[in-house]
Amino acid sequence: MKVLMFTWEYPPKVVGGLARHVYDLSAILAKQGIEVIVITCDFPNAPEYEEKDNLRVHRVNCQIPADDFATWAFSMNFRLKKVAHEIAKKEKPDIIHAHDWIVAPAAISIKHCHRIPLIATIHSTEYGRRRGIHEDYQRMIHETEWWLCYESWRIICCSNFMRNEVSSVLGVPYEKIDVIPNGINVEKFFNVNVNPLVKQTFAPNGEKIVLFVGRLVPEKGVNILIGAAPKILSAVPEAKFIVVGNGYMKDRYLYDAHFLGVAHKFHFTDYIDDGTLLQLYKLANVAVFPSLYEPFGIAALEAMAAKIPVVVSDVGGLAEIVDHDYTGYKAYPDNSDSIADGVIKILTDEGYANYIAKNAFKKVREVYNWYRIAEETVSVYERVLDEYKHTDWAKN
Amino acid sequence: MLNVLILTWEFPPKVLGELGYYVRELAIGLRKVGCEVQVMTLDDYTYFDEFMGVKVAHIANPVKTHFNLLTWLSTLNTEVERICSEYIYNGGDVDIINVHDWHLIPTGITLAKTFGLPLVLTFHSTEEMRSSHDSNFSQAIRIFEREGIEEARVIIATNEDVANSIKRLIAKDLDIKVIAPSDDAWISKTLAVYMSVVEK
Repeated sequence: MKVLMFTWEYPPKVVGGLARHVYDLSAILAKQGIEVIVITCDFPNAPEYEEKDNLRVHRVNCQIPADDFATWAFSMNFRLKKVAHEIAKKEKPDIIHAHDWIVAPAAISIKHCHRIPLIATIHSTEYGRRRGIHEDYQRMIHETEWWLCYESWRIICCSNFMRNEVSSVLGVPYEKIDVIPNGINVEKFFNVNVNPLVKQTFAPNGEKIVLFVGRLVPEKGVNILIGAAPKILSAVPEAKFIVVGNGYMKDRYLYDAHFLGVAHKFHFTDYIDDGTLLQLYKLANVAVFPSLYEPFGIAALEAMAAKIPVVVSDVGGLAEIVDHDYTGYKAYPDNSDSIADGVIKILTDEGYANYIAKNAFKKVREVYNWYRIAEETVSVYERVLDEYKHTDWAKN
Repeated sequence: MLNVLILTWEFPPKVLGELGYYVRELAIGLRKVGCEVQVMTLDDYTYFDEFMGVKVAHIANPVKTHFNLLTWLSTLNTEVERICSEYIYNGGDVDIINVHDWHLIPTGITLAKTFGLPLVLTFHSTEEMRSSHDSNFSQAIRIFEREGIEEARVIIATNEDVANSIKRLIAKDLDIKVIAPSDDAWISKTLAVYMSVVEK
């Protein structure tokens, strides 16, 4: 089986979780004997073409001047398409797999010109990201998402929450959507040695670390964690908050922390490298994910894999990953008080903390591993190919 | 006789400038000398009709909301590609593709690459002639013009100014035929260009 994979980000070009998802998925599929051809945008100093066993990566020159992201995104499809048509003609792939709206025009073009069935993974929707469609810029993306779903044979979503959202917001038949949760590699959290320097930087006086990892954008809800800080500190004075990530809301959050008089207990790290992050996971006592919108919640999964108890808000994919009082603490959404209760409980009750961390690790290992994801993805491919056999396209 | 596929973003009843009328005259002229002509053009909704023996597909953009020409063309070109490949897979014969101006150049490139069909580009004007400033938008259009020129077998310019402007666009020896629609032998000269490409 040969799969043509479209994604606009692929390592080393990493913007959000999409790059890592496609990277891991492609690698595991290739490992299972499926030929994977990834078509993606170029990146400074990254090779134009890479090949490793069954996995081939084409990085297409997408340097097109544009005033805004969407114009660039739509224009770069012309470039992706040009290269993809040549590859499709030569390689004759069985399946096209597109990730998110950004690559829709190219993927749909290949579908029709070469008569190959198209499958799309919808990682999030514009409606969800912006909590509604408020202007034409968003409506354009929203309609493009609809178009991609319309043209796709089947849709893959990462959680039941996303399945409901795609179905109701984009008008996709519920039955057309398969749910395959994301996964992580648990192994990378083993045998992490904490550099004393890292400990010195983040917890010099043996503070209890409350960790947040994510982009600093409104939907991640860092302000809710800041709002919870005074209550947490009054119960656990030795707590310290470490916020990993960057985003356009950072200044606002710094202001919020100052306003509540807890700024001295907050450490905003910006982006940090993977090695340091793994050590931070080792040091942390609790990880908090107070999101308002979360299609999946891979960061929570990573914390669980690192055996840290988690406090999450009861929204989206997070709500599906965490079982309350069993694999984590589920707080009310958009509620600082509730987040504070969870953090205090974990920081003060060691038995409880160990219990949920242990259960969470077990769940991550069993449910969210890449082999199971590869298996389920392949079965979607096989189902589509089987259905495709009976169509006019296959007969001609 | 020759089967010609014409791609144009303007064709009556959807007319913005003179391009639409020129292309219609060309299509009818080619039909009169015995060519089979299929025109692919745009409209607000998709429908197929025939005008004086010329078959016309009016194609609507699947994504209705856009905020500039480039995003609009991205989804539109894919839809035109869909209709064109449906046409070809369903037995429609195409010997040559003629794209007018730059808007549907991406479709021309796609069809040339996918089905191995020869591409002829007709320029009625160029971005350089229309816009003197160097905005990102204008640069992007020049990129598409350049990519079309690289893929095309022959370039037709409607006058010398256009031909010179194309030469400034790309540092390459180009075979540019200048054929003005006002020329009495417009149709026969255009046909001769088509034939020269097909026979190669």
